[in-house]
Amino acid sequence: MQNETYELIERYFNAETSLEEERKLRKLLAAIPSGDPLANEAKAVMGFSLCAPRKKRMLRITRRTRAWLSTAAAIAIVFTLGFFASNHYGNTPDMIYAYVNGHEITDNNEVMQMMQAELSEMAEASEYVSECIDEEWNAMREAFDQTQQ
Amino acid sequence: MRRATILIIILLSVLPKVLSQENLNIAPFFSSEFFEKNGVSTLTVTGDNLKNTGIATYRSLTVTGNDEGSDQLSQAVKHDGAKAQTREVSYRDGKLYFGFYVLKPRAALNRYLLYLDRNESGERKTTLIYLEGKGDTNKIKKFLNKKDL
Repeated sequence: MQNETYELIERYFNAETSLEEERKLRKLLAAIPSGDPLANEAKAVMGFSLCAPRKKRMLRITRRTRAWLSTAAAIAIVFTLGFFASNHYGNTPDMIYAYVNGHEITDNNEVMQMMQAELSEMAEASEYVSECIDEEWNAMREAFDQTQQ
Repeated sequence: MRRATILIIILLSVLPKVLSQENLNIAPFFSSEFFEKNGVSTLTVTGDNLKNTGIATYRSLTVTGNDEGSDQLSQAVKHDGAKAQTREVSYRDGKLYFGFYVLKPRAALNRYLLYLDRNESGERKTTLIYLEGKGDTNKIKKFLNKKDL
């Protein structure tokens, strides 16, 4: 077994070992007590290679990638807020009620009649204002026509 | 990257305005503190109750026999009306008699104010209607003149 170990150590130092052989050598070296100079040397080299800090796998984020990520994040925010806004404003919940002198009225028909009455008054006022504008406009036009004659 | 940052900054500066209800001067009059008073009546109709009208929200407030309340309401309407996109107003004896204001849309919904100040049986009666919906001005005027909803 020792011969096999030495042979593998020699092959290892000559960089002739396969990965499987290196694994085997590690196991064999672990079984050899300290004191063997060749084995110690091999342990030191292999131990170094085992303990040497691994190169960190750096996730390379280029400027371009970062810009795309930011844009994607911004789009995600817009969609999320858009969804929120459409839910919040898109569907108005059904409500119908009135308060008259502090008393609540929940009879739909009564409330709708009140609304109708308000709208009628507004419509009348709007018509009245339109008529006033027409009257003023006609008066202005007549006056203008007179000055032209 | 820079483009994405600008986009995010724009979103952050614009969205709070979109998502939070733009403060109108008339807003406090629709709070329970005001509409539970004597001489004050309010209506709220939303959702399916206003189907096919182009309106999603109908809110109104009527102040009867309360000069101080009417004056406050009139002032608030004038302030909000000053920021309106278009307006049709009529004054009588130096007082706002009728007003139809098209406010700036909010969250893709058009907003309108209708105001009327008149005397009824010797009492001053002031009505304010706030409308919100997808309907344009023509649709709102049709709604105003609709006899049966």
